[in-house]
Amino acid sequence: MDDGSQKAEKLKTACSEAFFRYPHSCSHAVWYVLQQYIPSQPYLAANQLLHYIESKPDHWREVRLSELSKLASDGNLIVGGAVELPNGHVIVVYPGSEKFSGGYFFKDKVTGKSVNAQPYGMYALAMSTSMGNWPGAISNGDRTVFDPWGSKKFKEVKFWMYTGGKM
Amino acid sequence: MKVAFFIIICIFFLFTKQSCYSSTNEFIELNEEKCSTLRRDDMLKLPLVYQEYLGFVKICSLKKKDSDEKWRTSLISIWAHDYLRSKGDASRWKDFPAPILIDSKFKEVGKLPELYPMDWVTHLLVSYGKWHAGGPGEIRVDISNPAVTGDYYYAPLEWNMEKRKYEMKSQEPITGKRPK
Repeated sequence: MDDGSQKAEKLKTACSEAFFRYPHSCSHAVWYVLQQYIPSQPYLAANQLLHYIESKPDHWREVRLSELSKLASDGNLIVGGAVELPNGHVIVVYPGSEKFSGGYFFKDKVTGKSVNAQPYGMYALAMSTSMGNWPGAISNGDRTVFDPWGSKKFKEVKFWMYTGGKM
Repeated sequence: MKVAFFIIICIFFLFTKQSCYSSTNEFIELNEEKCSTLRRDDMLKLPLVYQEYLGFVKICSLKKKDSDEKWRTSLISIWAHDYLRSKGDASRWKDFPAPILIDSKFKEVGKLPELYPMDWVTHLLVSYGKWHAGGPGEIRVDISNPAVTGDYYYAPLEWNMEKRKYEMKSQEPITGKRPK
């Protein structure tokens, strides 16, 4: 197994452990993964974590949506998220090839009817947990980075890759 | 006696003004059940990009409640989920053209930022009011969003008398419920 594959396996393992340990808190799940790479990383709620990462350009580099799959598959740690009031949402990019978002049913809040979230576009995979019941935000690498947001709000999501160094 | 009369008159005017104010500012919520499928001959009045969605393009008139008068503005949108269901559950989402507002001559007078009544997962709640010369002076688009960020809304579409179009000051979604 080459270095990239080993790193990817480490990232997959960290993501899966985080997914099962913190199924209802995105910030705790992401924190768990971060700790596997940065043991001193303090717990921060989603909005605070995003501000924190943005304030550390020596350790985190913003990356493009089109780069995510390749970078994560090489074992790079990438955190994605968007600040929202009162609560933002954060995810970790999961190693693997891009896949179509959607492919699950959800309940339309207006009509109460079950609606199929049709495949929307190709995106990198995600590890995401949530206190809510939106199925797109529950992913152990089986949904994409688009699915938690799944609307025009996705364009507000940014992604940062951990570039190492002491925090 | 004069003072009492004056107070009664003031109260009367206050109530009158209040009731007038309420009726002119009342917003009507568009009921998607009342929209009708666009006929083939009317479809031909729309841009080419709509033509492949024949049978799934509906027109909704933005008129006052129970009004028989000729209305000025209508909304035209593709019922995208119905269209995709007709193609099978595995059909991929398409880059559907945005809903448009038209006048009584089918001239485009505005655009909505997302598909009505449903975009990919969001459900649009459209309301209209502030009547002006037989048409709504303002159209509001509120979004019911089941995904993590929750509901949001857009700046209102306001009728620009000079350009004879509905304009939205910003297309950026605003998180939360529209302030009352």
